[in-house]
Amino acid sequence: MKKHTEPLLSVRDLNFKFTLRGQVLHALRDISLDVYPGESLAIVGESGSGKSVFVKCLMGLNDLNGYVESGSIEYGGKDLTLLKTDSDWKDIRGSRIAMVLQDPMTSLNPLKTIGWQIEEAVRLHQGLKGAEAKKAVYSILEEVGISEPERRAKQYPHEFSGGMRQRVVIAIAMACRPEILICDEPTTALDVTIQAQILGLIRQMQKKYNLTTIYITHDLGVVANVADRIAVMYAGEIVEVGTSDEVFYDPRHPYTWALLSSLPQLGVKGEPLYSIEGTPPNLFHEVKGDAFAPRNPKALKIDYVKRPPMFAVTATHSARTWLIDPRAPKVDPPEHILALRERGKDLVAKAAAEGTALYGASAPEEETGAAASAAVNEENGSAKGVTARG
Amino acid sequence: MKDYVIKKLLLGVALIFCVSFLVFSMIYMMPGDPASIMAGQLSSRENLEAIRHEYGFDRPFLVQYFDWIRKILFERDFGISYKYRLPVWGLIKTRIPISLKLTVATLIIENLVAVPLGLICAYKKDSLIDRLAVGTSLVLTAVPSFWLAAILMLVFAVNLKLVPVAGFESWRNYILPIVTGVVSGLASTIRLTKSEAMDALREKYVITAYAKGLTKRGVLVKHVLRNSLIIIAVNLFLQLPWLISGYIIIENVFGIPGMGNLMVNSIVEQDFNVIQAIILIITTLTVVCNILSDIVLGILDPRIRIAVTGGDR
Ligand SMILES: Nc1ncnc2c1ncn2[C@@H]1O[C@H](COP(=O)(O)OP(=O)(O)OP(=O)(O)O)[C@@H](O)[C@H]1O
Ligand SMILES: [Mg+2]
Repeated sequence: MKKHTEPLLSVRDLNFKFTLRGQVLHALRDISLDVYPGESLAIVGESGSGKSVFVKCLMGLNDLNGYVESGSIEYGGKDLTLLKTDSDWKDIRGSRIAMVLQDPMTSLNPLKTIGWQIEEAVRLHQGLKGAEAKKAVYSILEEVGISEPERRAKQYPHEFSGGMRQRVVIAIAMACRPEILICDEPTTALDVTIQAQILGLIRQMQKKYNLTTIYITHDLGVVANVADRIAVMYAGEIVEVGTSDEVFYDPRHPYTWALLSSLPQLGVKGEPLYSIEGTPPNLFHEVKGDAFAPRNPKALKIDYVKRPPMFAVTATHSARTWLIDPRAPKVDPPEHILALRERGKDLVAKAAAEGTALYGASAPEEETGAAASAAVNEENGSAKGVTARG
Repeated sequence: MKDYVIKKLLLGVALIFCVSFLVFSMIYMMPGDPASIMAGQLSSRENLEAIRHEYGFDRPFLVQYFDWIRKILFERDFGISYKYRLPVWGLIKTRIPISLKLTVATLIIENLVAVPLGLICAYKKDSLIDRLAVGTSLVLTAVPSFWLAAILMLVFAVNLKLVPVAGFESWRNYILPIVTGVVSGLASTIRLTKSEAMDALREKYVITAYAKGLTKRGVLVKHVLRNSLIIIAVNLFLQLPWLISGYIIIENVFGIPGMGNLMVNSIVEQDFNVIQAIILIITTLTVVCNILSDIVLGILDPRIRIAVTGGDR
């Protein structure tokens, strides 16, 4: 295992805004995040927390009314926030970073055969033409688990089931031969068994091509299965980031507690499922203090006044909450979170001792998210995903 | 695909028959009967009876109807124009090409102008050109075409003398009528194209295409244009019958001897056989255009192509 790795992509203090009918929406607030080569990073958070906007920043795909206000995205010796035109993005979009969109039903062009749509990417990024390009298409289709590729390539998207279409979307992304693969809720629209297959396929591609993957999901069950590291987003900011085990077994931010509490597997039998009260703040107005405070029954006074900075818990784990400040009164997380912490104590200790060891280019599958996954899926033992949307 | 076309054809034929029945019954719902129109207001009873008998108006309704249909189908005989005392088909025959020339030319020019404009409006939404195009075309749709025709004639033919006032011998006679037709159809085609292209631009597959690394131009040409063109192509066929009926008035203003011109004269003269024939021909054209547009849609949109063929290609 590698001890230490330089980040592949590094986001610093990114602020992104949209103008909408004369008003300004502050969609991303001071986001800083490193992405390491070969890792699998998950971004979780409620709907509207800015996950999609964030990853679209990495590809310059946000709507035209959005703009980077400040901050930088260092990648491959460039600052992506400075790229403007299509030709600026040429070497990045599709070539080095590819994306799988959320809804496979609408993310393919209904009027073109799927072979044509994959071939478009093959021509663009592998420089192949004619029969060679066709052959490449067939082999990619086979690789993503579509049998009879020559026949299927001639078919149109509507002739494919949802899961099959998502395989095609993955095939298109893979045809680009990217370094980073972004999956924006790749399984949300699919049923549970298909979900597992698609996740398996992405993992397989990740290993085979040493891909760095960024998963967006509201599904903590999915996260536990796939992620080396987790970033929790709330109201346009990252409130907690750490290795999968750290976030699952030693969560520090009250919002992360709330997210975990809403997992059915962690709930107490017979009691109603926990759901987070209230709604996220309106990002058209600047948020004062801790964005989660109004929904946090145990919020401190300072939470309403001053915005907490990112506090480091370990070298790999940090959270944006005053609770970590040494001067803060001791606020205990909910009981089941404490229980979870007990369970994960050993793991976390081990993680802390090894520093960045829980992620890295060669982290084997069994050690990464597997323990967390076991804990999350323990209660009903199924692979069923759980949505944290409440 | 074959079944689909046959189904559409059968439906079309059924529709034409329904219309023909309605058209034929029209005579019996109107005040005055054909015989009295032919004979004139002051004709004697005996004379009327004689005419009724001669033209078979005294036979049962259905017999007359089927006789009428049979003659049209097998002898291309639409009857006699009461006014001109000539076979209706002979009257119409020369006018169909004139009307068709006019409408097809209008259609082509209109779409050549409106489709690119609509695409630009969608792509550069809220720009000056978008607002100008949408605003102007909106005002122009509100203008009645006969009024526009009269104004155009006044300005360009009467005052500026750039084109002849009326007639149909030279191509210059067709300029003003075509301009009138183009202008009145412009707005709807621009709006249709714009909204189709904007819908296509908002589609998720457009983001997929960008994410693939395609440039804006590539995305527009390969993904947006083609997808919005389907509806535009369908619209092209559906517009034709509308235009033909639109020209009923315009032809009259410009004195172009097309079907519209004949239609108006025949209505004034209560020349039923001619009216029936023209309505029937326009109906048939409408049905044919509808079928053509369905076929074009089937060819261009694989979702429909497969839905109708059950997947065999
Ligand atoms: N073009 C836009 N103009 C204005 N606001 C926008 C635009 N695109 C996104 N937003 C806003 O940015 C915020 C973040 O949206 P985003 O799509 O990133 O949420 P998300 O976390 O991906 O949610 P979900 O889980 O529902 O996909 C939302 O409040 C959204 O309304
Ligand atoms: Mg999203």
